[in-house]
Amino acid sequence: MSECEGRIGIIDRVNGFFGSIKHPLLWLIIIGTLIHLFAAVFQIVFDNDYWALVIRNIEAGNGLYEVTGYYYTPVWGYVLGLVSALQTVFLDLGMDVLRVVEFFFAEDLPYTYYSATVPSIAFSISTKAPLILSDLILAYLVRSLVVDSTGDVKKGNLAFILIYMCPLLIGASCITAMPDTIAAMFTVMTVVLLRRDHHFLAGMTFCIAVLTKFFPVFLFFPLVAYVLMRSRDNGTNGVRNVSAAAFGAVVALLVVFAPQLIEGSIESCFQFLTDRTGGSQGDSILSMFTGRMRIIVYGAITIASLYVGYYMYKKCRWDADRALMFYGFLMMALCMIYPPTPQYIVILMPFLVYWAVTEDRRYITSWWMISLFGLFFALSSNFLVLLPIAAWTGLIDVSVLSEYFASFVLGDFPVSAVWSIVGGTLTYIGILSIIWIMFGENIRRIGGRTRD
Amino acid sequence: MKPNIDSKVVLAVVLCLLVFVGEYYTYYSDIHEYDASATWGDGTVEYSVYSSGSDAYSAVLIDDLINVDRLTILVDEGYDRLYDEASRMTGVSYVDQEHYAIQITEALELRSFHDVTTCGSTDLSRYIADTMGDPSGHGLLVMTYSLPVSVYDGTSDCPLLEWVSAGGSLYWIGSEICSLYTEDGVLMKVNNSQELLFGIDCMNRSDEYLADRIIENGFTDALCLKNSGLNFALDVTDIADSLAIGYSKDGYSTISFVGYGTGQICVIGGETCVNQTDDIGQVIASGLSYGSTLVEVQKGVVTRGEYTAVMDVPSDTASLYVFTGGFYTNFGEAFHV
Repeated sequence: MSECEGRIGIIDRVNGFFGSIKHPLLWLIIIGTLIHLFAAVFQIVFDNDYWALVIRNIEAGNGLYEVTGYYYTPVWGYVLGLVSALQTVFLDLGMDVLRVVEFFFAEDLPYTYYSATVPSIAFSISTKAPLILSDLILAYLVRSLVVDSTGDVKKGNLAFILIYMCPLLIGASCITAMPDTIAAMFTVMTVVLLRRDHHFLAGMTFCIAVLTKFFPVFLFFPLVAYVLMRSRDNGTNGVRNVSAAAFGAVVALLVVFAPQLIEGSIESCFQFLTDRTGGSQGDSILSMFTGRMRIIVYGAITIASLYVGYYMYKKCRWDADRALMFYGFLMMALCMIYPPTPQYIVILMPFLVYWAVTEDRRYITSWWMISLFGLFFALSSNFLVLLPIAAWTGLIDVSVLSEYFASFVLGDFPVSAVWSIVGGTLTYIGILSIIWIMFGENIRRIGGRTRD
Repeated sequence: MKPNIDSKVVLAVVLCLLVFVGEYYTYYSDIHEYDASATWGDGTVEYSVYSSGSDAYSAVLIDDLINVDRLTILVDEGYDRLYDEASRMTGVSYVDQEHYAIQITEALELRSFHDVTTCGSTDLSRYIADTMGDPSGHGLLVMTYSLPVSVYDGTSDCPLLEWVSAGGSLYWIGSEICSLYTEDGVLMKVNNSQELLFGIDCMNRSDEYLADRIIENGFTDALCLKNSGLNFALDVTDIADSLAIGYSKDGYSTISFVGYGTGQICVIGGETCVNQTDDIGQVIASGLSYGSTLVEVQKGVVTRGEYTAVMDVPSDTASLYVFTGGFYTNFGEAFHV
């Protein structure tokens, strides 16, 4: 067989493989995964540097909190522990990071968090792999919720696309490399399990969701109300079901915090709370103010969550599934009233997509605004996302990239600040559009009555 | 009959288990293992480095060391009480001493430097007195802004400087070196501290706190140094018996060594951070000193096994420092002739 015939044979086999894929979902998975992998080549060089540091600390036997590096609750750290083990057993990574002198100035820019310690592209793709997988599972779970509710596979596939191809999710998982998708995935998994009456397991997944990123905690009361509503509908014992879920949550809590409980270092798991409420040493007046504001806003949302739970159980006449998805959507939208960083919005997206696909297509406009402007907002570091390519492949000259980046971020009122303000404002308008679609008519009615 | 297995439930169980398996690998597994060894021969050294994963390794042969093998970290009990005043006088930034002492101890621990203790300012004079007979091999790391008058009073014949002169190694971070001492609970300023120590005023007093270039003597690359901060850093260009490594701007270097008598003083610039902690680990564990010269560096990747190589050794005062992980060093060990 000639070389040419061999190549034609390979092409035929590849064509045959893709030709054999009849299920549209498989195509969506393949295309979405390729987009994710392409995006994973880029990085906002900050958090990924920290993940390299966390993995070093794990490798050195220091766990998550013994030395500086990890500031969140442990779940994402454990995922990094698993990544580290897989890297050790299977990958040939060699050097993980480089220091790039030309970008030292980026570490000192005000109001931004950038690093000149640049993880390798291979390393960062390996740490983003669980996030890509989480995006995929999240899309699959939202699809299944939509199909369960509507019986319409096409709507389910649309929901899958709106999650797995969502620019904001791709940006948060593949470029920023933040684990918000894992919190979202475990949250939606909790809903799926509760719908199937697996209360103990749902308690565990909810606990893991909250211990990944805190926003799902505001779903606590609506979820309890949901279990009680369903018990009322199908005649099972509501208190027993809630207790089973609570037991599952406690078991997960004890397992997740076991190392810190044994070491007596549980307070280090919540350091981010004091850091982000202006309670840590040396914080500025601005960060103290924003921190206190955050406490006030989230305190109000907690009260709203309690009221929503009460309303769902006592007064809501919708069926339980519909009520949970709407009030869950409302709670997550309220969490975004305090202006969020782009990746925080990830937890809102499953509820937004579900409601847009199953109930009200007007929310698609909100999806477009949040997805596109959220990604735009996330990319306010602009040229910095190319730094790994420059530092590790030489395809771009690091000095030239540094000059472009400097012209973008330096000055009294730099382009990057305009970029952030525009991106942040448009994203926030997208979030407000959700509230407007939810309550616009009520607001207009109240306004009309006031005028009358 | 086909069992009724819900794929979503199976998926949920698998995902929860993956988190718990990750927890096991984070805290309880010995999957990450590193080791190094060296055998000194006639004019050569054969070293081996082992990793259970895939890691960058560096073998750095350095000549003329001051071999510090015991480090004492000063944790000043009066730090918080006088901090505000010291900050006004010298612009020093707050350091959580206990926390940072742990960070440095752990950074040294992973580099096989195990003899690290902490000492309060009230016990410092006893430590100096106890080791004054032969302070070589002893290192004292200071991260506070002032020293008790019992060891330092701004004169060259104070116990601390006599201790350094007799062979001790003083590592200083986070403030202007030896610019304050405390007497009866009051901060006293020493106006000529650098002239006293180095003969010239050489500390960075500009608003430029970030380095913008690498110091091209090989040490920065060889030891994967990272810290870019120049607060309170020194310019030792015009000082004999000195060595600057790391990164620099306008002559000020992130790490400076200066010989003092038979001992040395090392000033590490910048504010406390992981990069600074790692640099401190590399500098102390490798045994670097003001007179050190870089003989040879061998780098590569060791993957799930052992790598062995041989280097020529020019003198009987050389040392070999082997580490893995590159800029995020996860293991290191120094070997002396």
